[in-house]
Amino acid sequence: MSRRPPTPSFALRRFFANVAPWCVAVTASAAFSAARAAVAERQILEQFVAEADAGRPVFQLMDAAGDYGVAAAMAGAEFLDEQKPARSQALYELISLTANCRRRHADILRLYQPAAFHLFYAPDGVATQRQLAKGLEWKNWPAALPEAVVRAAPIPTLEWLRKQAQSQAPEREKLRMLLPPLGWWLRAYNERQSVADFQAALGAMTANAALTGDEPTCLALLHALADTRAVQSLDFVLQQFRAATPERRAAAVESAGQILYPEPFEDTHGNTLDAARIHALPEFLRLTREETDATVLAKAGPAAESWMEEPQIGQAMLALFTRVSDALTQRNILFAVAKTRWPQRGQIIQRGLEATGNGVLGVALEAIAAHPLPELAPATLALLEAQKEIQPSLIDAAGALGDPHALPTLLRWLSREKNMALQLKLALALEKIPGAESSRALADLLNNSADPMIVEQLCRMASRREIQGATPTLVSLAEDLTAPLPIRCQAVWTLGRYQEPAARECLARLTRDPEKYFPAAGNALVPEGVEQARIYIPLARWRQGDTSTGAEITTRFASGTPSTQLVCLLAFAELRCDHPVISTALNSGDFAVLLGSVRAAGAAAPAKYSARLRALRASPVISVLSVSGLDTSRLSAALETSIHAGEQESAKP
Amino acid sequence: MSASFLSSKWTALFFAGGLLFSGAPGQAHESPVDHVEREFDLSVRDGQLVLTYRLRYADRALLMQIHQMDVNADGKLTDEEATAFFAAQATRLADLFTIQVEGKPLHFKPAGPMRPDARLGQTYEFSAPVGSLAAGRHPGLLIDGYSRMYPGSFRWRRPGDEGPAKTRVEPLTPSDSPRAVLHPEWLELHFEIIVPN
Repeated sequence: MSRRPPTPSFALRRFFANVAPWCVAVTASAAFSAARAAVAERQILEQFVAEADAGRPVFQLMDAAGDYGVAAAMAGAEFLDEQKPARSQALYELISLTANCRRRHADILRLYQPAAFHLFYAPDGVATQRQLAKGLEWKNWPAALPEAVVRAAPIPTLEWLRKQAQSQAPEREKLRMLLPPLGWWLRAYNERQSVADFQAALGAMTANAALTGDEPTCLALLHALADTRAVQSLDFVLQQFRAATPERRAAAVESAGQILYPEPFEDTHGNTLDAARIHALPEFLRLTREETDATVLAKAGPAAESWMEEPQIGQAMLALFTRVSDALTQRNILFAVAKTRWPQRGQIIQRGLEATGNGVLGVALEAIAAHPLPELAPATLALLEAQKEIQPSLIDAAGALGDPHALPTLLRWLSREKNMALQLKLALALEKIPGAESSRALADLLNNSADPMIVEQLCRMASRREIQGATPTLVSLAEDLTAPLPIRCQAVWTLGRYQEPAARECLARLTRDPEKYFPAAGNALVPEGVEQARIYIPLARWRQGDTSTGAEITTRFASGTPSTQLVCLLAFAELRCDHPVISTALNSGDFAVLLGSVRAAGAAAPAKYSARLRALRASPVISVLSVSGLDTSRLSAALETSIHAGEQESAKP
Repeated sequence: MSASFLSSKWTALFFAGGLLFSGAPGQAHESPVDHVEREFDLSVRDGQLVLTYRLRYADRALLMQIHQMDVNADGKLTDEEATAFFAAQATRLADLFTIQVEGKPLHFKPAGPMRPDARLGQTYEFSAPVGSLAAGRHPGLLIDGYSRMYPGSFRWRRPGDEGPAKTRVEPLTPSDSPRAVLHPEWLELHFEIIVPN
């Protein structure tokens, strides 16, 4: 039977039946709520002002006013009074608190705080911003004013900054109050509307000698330029490399480093800072050659990280490391070495291993863990042999180098070590050293350890690297109903790596009766841990090569929680195998699932998913998320990696 | 509250985190699964058991919701897109509740539009006919299936303040019970409907 296409009248009826009641209800409810809120908000504000005038605490009222968002602050603007500093201070604290919402996406404000959306995005919101920022013109600023105006009144704040930039007698003290909160606001990616305008306003200040000629103001300006990453002002910053005072030179080096530091999403929009880095290179190299002040040189290492692969910088850091004896400078260079890929990194680390400065050797060993270069093995092994007591950084370095000559010492330490964290560190080092001897040691530890954390980590190691003799313990753990569920999950997944009959037979038993091995104890809902254990069974069989489990994975994925879906997607990412759940998950509205799908798509079939990954990157909200400071799990980086993998795969003949 | 949470959810997230960040050992990170704070308010009105359910999401989760709302991906959220999303969300939430009074299952249905608030809260209302209850205490159970997917803390918003003369609901599972604080598998809240003589 064919479905009748919806006619206009049908569509209209459906609209009135389904959507219109919601719209009417929303409108009526909103109007009623708004009227009631306005009265309550006014009452709270009046009480707030009375308490502040009386010098009493207003914390509770401030919290209550928060229910009304920035609307409370707007209502409070009329009470701002230069002659009443205590009241104005309290009101600016309230404005600052409630206007913190400006860091949010415009549509979030539109949905949840329409007053804030109007204040910040409507043309006539500027008039209210001016009311809120009227304290900018006062003789004495309340301490809370700078942060409040940065958050609540960007347009008047910009106007005030521009005025100072043009003034022959700028208000330097007030400017020094305003620049730090402005810098923090931009550094935290909170500014959504006027980044370029703020950068330009600060840039204009660098041309005002009345500001740059004053040491404290110039230092504050350099810090603000760093916080706002004002690359337009790079020339001014570079000029300050030659300033008379070391404080100013140090601030300039720090500022240049922050301005030029590569952001994770720098390439996303095609506007890299490569040209600026090339432009700044000669002056930075000169400074590393000629500077003698230890405070300035200590900033050189972190700043050098901006040139991730530049051989000239590597050479300059090598020369600087050799020239100076200051431990802080040397440590900072080694920290930078760990994060960069300079060709001279091995030589710098080698010198670090020979250094006698306070803590330099430890940082050099950390750098080896990041860059386990073969030429560093002899010195590291010599240190290892000479070391009587267990040394955590040395364990990491020896493990990263993967040299079997490190085994005797590491095994000796493991045999007598009781501390769980150090046992784990030693086990992780052994995992990276190939050969039967390390495998045997790991198997012994897995078979004999009673510590759940150690056992779980060893199961993971057995998943990453085949450990001879591990299978019986893995089988035992997978089937042991008394063992902690996360260990059992890991054991099941790890068994998928092993082709031995015992591993296959165990997974077959679990497949036949997952409810018996992972019971849900009569609950109305299946606990997430049990759900995950059950999905690991078909995933492990898939890992063994049995792709007939694909349909079961799809079913379990569909009913899974976001955590379960994430675990499943990351399993496919680890296996670099495509599966229909990846395509499904790329449409997800859940952050964790989307993140897992991007990783899985990039690992499993990047060319196949290339168009969808690009569309996702270009989608309005995801692109905003990438530069918002909310992307702490690095979805944007995962997208870049997966898209890049797709380009490489497509380029293959 | 279901048991054995610590042996599952946190460690599952830890495991996921371990896989996610295996390329960067030692780096601190937060869970990619956004937690959701909840407030419950149960009452009896006109023969209906009414649940007022307020959710507070993290900023990232709200952005993801906007990503979902923007069905044509033009970056311009319309009222229609938002209304349709929240109506669908209300239905989804209703279906995820398990509610019983005196052991008899009830089924919640959305009873009005979502109400947003300035603290980024979303308040939904659900109702289910509870029938006529005799005077006395009637035990009830509310299982929040949505909390299984998106865990987080909870509190009762208005714990039985209707006064002794009216039919009221008294929560039996306190917000600060150890199990609630310890991040349960899902929220399983016991309450009593008290019908006065």
